Amino acid sequence: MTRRLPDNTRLGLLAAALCFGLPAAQAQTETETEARRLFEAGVAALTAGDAAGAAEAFARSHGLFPHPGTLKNLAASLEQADRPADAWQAWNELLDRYGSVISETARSEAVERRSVLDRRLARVTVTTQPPGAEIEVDGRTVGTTPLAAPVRLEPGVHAFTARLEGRETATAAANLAAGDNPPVELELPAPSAPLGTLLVESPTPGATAAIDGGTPEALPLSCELEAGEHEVRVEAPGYAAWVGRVRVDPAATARRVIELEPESPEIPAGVASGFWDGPWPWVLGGVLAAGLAGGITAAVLLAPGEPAEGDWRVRMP
Amino acid sequence: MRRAGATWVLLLAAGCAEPPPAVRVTVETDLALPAEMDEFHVMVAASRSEAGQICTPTSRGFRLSRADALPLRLVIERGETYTSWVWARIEGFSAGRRILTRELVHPWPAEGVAEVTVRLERACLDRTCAAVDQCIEGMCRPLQMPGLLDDADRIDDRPCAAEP
Repeated sequence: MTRRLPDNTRLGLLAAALCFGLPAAQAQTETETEARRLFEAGVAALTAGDAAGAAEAFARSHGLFPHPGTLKNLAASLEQADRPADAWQAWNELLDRYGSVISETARSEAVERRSVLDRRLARVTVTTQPPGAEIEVDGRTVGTTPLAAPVRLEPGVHAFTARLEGRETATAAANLAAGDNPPVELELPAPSAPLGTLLVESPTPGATAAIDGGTPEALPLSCELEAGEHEVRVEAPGYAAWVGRVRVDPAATARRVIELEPESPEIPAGVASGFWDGPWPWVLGGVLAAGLAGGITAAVLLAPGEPAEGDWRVRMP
Repeated sequence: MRRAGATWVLLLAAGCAEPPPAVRVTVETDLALPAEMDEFHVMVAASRSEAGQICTPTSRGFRLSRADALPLRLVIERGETYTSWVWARIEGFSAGRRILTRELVHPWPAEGVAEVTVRLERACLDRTCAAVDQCIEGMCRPLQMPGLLDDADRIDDRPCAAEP
């Protein structure tokens, strides 16, 4: 893929090196010395026709010691190495970072190269819901949403990944052609609650269970639920229903075996009617009324008690 | 007469601010938690008559995941209608199997909090009693309200409150 540079291009790059390169006198630290060595290696690779090797050297040099000359050489090397998206990015960075300090000639060249390359690329507008997610394209981080500009990509299939702490990672893929300008919208859902398994069994024939007021289902019943407490109602014809709360722990199975008790025969009607027909309702009513009045009086006259503390509190009607 | 009336007004006004009478049930055990008992359920109801006319019981399960999960206190507050007595059934479970059951009936205190302790005992683990009895301290003793939940006519449709 690497192409040998025409002589005029190599001369241009060397001129760029002379214009923007690192003067030996300024290379004072070890980092600067290494940056200069890499810069010279890049020039040598470029002279030898190794554009890819030159781009690698210029990129490392620029990482150690940012300089417009190094960045210009990097952009040209990337373009010669047939990496148009990376070259566009380098030319764009040259204009963004050094547009006000480089020569008019260098600026015009950067604008022209960026424009030429742009026609060979797709421009993808990446958004996320919620914003603030780190975006990776083909495994390379390109920024955090909202992105300042569309991502330039070469034609072909690309993978997009959005990551945000506290959210599930979102991914998407797109097959792009030159000039495409598609939006890529990535939604990062809130993490789902941890799940556990609830297993309800019963030796009672015909027993069914309803979870959290749902439709009764035959037992044994096994279902995956969000961790936490769930209301379980087990019933069977001829048996007293059982209602209880079962805690389901994350990634665990909560097993409950519910044995229902047979319903007792009804009390003969005469028992109840006899009670209500006699004097007892009036007697009890009087006792209750007197007790209630006495209770209110005592509650007021005696020292008031503090609200009772407890792990579970219920108020009767 | 006028002074007595004013006193009643003051008393009633003051009474509104007081906490309602309550029964506080302390559940304890001599079993090892959670190895021998890992859960217990409580079902509570109150009656509006001495003979037993209760609201639809409300229940809750408690996971006993730690050795010190018990004792645990349950506070049942009296309301305006079901003012005769309070009933509770406490059931202990191990790996989903019911191993102990205790029932209690207690009158509402006139004011303040009445303390009741229910002990889920090892001595009752293998004790089988008749339907009208329950095991207390290893002995079968009569239930105060046997079969209370067995007669639908004695259970009102009105639910016994949620947590306040």
